[in-house]
Amino acid sequence: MARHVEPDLPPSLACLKNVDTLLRCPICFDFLSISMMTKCSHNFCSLCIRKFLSYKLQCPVCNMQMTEQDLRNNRLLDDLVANFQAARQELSKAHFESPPISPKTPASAVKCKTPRERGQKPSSSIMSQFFQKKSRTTPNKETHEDAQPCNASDPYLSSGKAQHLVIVKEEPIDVEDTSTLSLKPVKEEHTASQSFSGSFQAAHSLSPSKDMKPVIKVECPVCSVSVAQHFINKHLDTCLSSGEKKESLRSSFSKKRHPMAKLVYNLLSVQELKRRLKECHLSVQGSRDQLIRRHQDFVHIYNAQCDSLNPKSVEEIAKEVEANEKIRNQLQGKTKPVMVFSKNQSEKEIEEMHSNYRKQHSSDFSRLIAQVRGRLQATKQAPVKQEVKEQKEDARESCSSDQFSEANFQSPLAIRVEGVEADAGQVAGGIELSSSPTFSDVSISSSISDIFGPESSSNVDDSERTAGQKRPSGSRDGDAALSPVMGKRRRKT
Amino acid sequence: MTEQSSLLLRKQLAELNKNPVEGFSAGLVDDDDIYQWEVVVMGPQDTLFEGGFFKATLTFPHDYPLRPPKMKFISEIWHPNVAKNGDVCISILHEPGEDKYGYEKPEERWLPIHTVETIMISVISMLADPNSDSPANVDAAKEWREDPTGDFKKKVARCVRRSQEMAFD
Ligand SMILES: [Zn+2]
Ligand SMILES: [Zn+2]
Ligand SMILES: [Zn+2]
Repeated sequence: MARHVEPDLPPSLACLKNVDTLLRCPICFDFLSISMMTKCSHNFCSLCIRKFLSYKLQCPVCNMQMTEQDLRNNRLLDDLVANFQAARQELSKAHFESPPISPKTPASAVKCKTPRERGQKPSSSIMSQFFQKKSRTTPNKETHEDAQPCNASDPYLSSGKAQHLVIVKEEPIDVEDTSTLSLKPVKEEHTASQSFSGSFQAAHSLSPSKDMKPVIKVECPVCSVSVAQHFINKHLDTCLSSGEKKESLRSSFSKKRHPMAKLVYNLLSVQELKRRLKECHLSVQGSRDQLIRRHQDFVHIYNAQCDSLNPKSVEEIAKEVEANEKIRNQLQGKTKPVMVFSKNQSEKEIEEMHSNYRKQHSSDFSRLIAQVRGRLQATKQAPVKQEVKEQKEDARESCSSDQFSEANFQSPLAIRVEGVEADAGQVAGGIELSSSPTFSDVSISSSISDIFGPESSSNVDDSERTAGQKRPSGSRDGDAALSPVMGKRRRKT
Repeated sequence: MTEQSSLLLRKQLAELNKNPVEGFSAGLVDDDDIYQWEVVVMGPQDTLFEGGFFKATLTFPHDYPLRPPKMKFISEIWHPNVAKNGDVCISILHEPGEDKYGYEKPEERWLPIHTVETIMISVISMLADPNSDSPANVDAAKEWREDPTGDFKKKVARCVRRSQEMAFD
């Protein structure tokens, strides 16, 4: 979760856009920060996925059931992100110094390597996507019908969608994490964390559990040593002040810090809450809800930092938590609802409020309408002839390349509005999909056509104009725009 | 998450401005408030809603993308999945925890990878294919189920016409 917004790639480096996209977290769209891989081979920032898992125990990309315990570091991606960012900067610089030649060289070098490596290791799948999508940034537009023939024999194709499901050899999971965890089975806190993050729902519904007995020993968040609860503050003081020396000593063995337990806050007294906040160097001011939220935020960040090779200190994390809280409070004060509705308003009253709103914002809406109409007209003028050729190319292309991301992004977008799309989502969720770190332009555009294809009530219509249109930027939003959302939708015959 | 949500939304807005998506357009109500959006959705072709320009608001929670935004049509729209007060009622916009109807599949629920764009795609596909199983507008659902080319069609046509009048005035 990097906090900055990077400048766009210069046009001559557009070929790197796909690598750029692939190295981003599907939740925050920033470059992966402390990337964690799920069992289903999807990658997220540690903090992003941990926060999400406290809402819902499933993979946000493919819906597979999972818990925080299933997460594993994917350090290769961390290194790739770091190196890519550095390279990107270099290339951008080079680009501005000598625009025509220099930036192209590295890009094409990368491209050449790709096909050979594909399918051999997880990293190569990333590159193969890059390659595959790279070709997509040429003015070819892929739709799922194009890909169809390649999938005719695919047993998973129950819904008629194009899914290139690529079974990727699963890499042995890095055992480091689990082994270190299992070396410390004594810690009550840890046990609690396991059972509760495994069933967060239950935790919320106040399910009784022996794990929630008052904790006798707690784990020091700094050195991971088990300490009697009433000594923890004292211990923390010494632990923190002896700081670096200890840290470096320890790190030669295991630098790994252990995640803090998820607490069942309902069961904690305010006093207990405050004690825990103090442990974390956090303020104890505010309402019970504020205290809880503060502690939760701390646990999320702390646990995400446990996945880092160079975790932030407790104090740093505490500062971050409190800074976030400040921003949140400011926002809360600022936001005013656009329209306030009460429960029992008559239709007439509602229409009046809507009408007032439309009037108040009529210039905004006129602008938006002009925009959307302009797009429609541009679409209608798009060349039709070109399309046939493109379709052919697409078909070939999709046969020859592994469409990891397509399969990946399928399920979340397979939103059943009327009940047609359910199968594909389930299928996608249930099988080993791919090792793609994230989804991408290709996946989105194809899944849009997936959505619109089967749902369309129109008849076969080959004169469809939108699908062949090309947008210059390879960005995901851009490509998604290519889908025949508003045009006559392409039909399977 | 707070700062992250606003950054993420800014990014999406910039991207939509740079590479607009067919079928809808989106902007902010107030440039200082990234959490309040206005959108215009075009009725998809080959549907009863074709030709309509429907105005709506999107309101994002501060912990987006962990929680979904709310969408409200402020143009009159007659549809089984749009409440009479304009609230759009599709499963992907339901809060992560709740399953009002008890049968929503995980992949149909809110996920943090949804963007304004993917939401609008769902909404547009909702227009194309109403789901009368869990209607937000019971009357519209009944009409749509029983006689889609009768009263339902007439009412939708009226909404489309009105949305056009209001669009081009
Ligand atoms: Zn992230
Ligand atoms: Zn997954
Ligand atoms: Zn290893």
